[in-house]
Amino acid sequence: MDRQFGAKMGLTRRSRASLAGIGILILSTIAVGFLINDYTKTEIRNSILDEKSTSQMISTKSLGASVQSEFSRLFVDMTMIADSSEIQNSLSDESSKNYLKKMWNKINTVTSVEDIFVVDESFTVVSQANTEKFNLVGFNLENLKNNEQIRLKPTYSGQILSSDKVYRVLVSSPIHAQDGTFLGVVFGIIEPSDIISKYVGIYQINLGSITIFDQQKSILFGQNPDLLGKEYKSEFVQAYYDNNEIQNEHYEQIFAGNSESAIFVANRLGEVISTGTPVSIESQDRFFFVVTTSVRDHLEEINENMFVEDLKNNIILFVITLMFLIVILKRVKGIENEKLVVIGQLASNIAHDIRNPLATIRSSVTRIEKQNKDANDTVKQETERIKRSISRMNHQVEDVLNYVRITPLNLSENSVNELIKTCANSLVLPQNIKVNIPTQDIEISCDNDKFRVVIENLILNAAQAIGDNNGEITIKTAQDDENITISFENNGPNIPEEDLEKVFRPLFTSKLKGTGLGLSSCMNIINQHNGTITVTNNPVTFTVKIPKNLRKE
Amino acid sequence: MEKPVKILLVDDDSDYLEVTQLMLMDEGYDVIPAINGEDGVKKYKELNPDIVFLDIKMPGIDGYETFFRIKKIDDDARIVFSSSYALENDRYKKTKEMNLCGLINKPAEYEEFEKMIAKFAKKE
Repeated sequence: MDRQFGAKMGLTRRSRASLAGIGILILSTIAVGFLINDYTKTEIRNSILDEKSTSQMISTKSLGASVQSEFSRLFVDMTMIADSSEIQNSLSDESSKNYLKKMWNKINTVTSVEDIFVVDESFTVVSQANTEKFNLVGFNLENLKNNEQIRLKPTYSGQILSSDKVYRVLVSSPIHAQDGTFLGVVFGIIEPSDIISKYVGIYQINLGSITIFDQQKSILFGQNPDLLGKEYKSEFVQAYYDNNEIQNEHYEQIFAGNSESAIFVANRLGEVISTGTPVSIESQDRFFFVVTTSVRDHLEEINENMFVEDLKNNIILFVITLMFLIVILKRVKGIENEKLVVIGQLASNIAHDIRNPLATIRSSVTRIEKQNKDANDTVKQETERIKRSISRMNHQVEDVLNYVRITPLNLSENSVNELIKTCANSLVLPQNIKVNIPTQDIEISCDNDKFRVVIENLILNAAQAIGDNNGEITIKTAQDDENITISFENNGPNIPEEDLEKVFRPLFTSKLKGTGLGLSSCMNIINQHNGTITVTNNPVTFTVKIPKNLRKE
Repeated sequence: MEKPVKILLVDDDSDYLEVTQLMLMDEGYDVIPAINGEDGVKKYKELNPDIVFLDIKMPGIDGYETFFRIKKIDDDARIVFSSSYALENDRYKKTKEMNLCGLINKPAEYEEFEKMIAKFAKKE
């Protein structure tokens, strides 16, 4: 026995070492988990930004290409107007004016054109189709008069035309008669931002993030009106951009005709994704689009992804930790069980070794009593006292045995009332205690022997609480679809509030003669039945609840 | 006067064996003491008692084994375990299936012996 006990203890020491090992393993797993989490977060952030920058570049390029194709079509339209029989016939008669109006309407269904107007050979406006905003008829465009290009072929010219600081573009086509005589020019006025707005929805680009430069790298369109008309390289614009070298380099690439994408810190906006593309009209880079978006704006989406990633990693970590904990708990429980088995064996041996001499004493007392029926009071008094002491010792041994004995459940169907009757009879309760058995009997699936321990303990406790007064112990049963509830109610004094939650703790007792194991044994047994035992006051009621569909283990 | 009930008392605790034997004899029973399982089996075969009170935990062959051996000799043997602890185990179950008469938990009052004898002892 001793050797066996020692061996168990050795096992426990080894187990402690392995527990420490598992603990270190958990901590390092968590640490590695955090590192991986951090790394994956950075990776995700970078890959999302890369992805964003690529998709923004594609959008920017597409936007450029779309604007480019709009312009190409406008040139075709302008040429068509110039070559039309109506215009060729007369620049400003009724039919040519109607034709111009018709064409304006037609073009506007596709491309937003502010004005279409026709000038004669002296560059005086003779006909106009427009939104009626500005009446240009009679106005002489002297500054264009000497532009040979305009007289010769379809031409593009961009400039900020009016005082409203809106950049407008003129597309034109000369009107030549059949014999080649110069008759005049047809002009279209377009706001590039109108064309762009049509596409921002499609390419999901915010209009405010677009800056447009012309051939001279002057800013034609952008968020800040102060920058309009100013050259990128000018001191004013450079100061606005904080002389950002990376940005300058990036823009130079775009101005050189490359579609570029870059991520850099622009002090004004923080980290930005900047993409740009040249837009060619009539095979010449006429202007440049630059789209600048703040990384912060993308952060929301990134954060969403981060959140999912965080959650994923945390769940993995949580599961790993949980698994380790389960392993540890099982191990610890295993150790506890090993200990309990040893203690159980020890207790059984001690119980046996105590009860045998008790049995001897008990038989001896019986002999003394039987042979001294007429003995004096002292003998009678003392034999009674010996008998009571034997009974007490025996019950204490029983309590300890019940507490340490872990045997598998031996389930059987039992009548609750029968169980209660058997227990009440075996207890030999004093006359002043009345036990009320449930009116309706129910069947319960339980371990007969173990359940009797519970019932006996609860009845005995109640009887002891009632003491010498007259009292009643009322046992009630109830059942629903899942559980059977048995309550033991007694009219003894309440349990002090502060003790209510302690009564099931091992070694807690308020009785001089108690071991403090009775109720904890009850709890162990009920727990083994997958049930619960609780206590409430007014009146003192112990309630046992066990599931109906208890399967054999 | 009718023939007294013949009791075989098997226990390795000699004090207990002696005092219980005397206690039962005081009441007029014929008691055969046996100091262990082998002794019990041997005495059962020789003396054919009406009832057996059998300890479980004993050196040599224990109470269960003694039970099975006695049952082999006499299928109708009336046996009551008298033990300090009764562990629910397979062998205990098997004895129950083989008409174990009952169990007396030590320490027991005399009345418990008397009840068992009245209920289970073979009557001539």
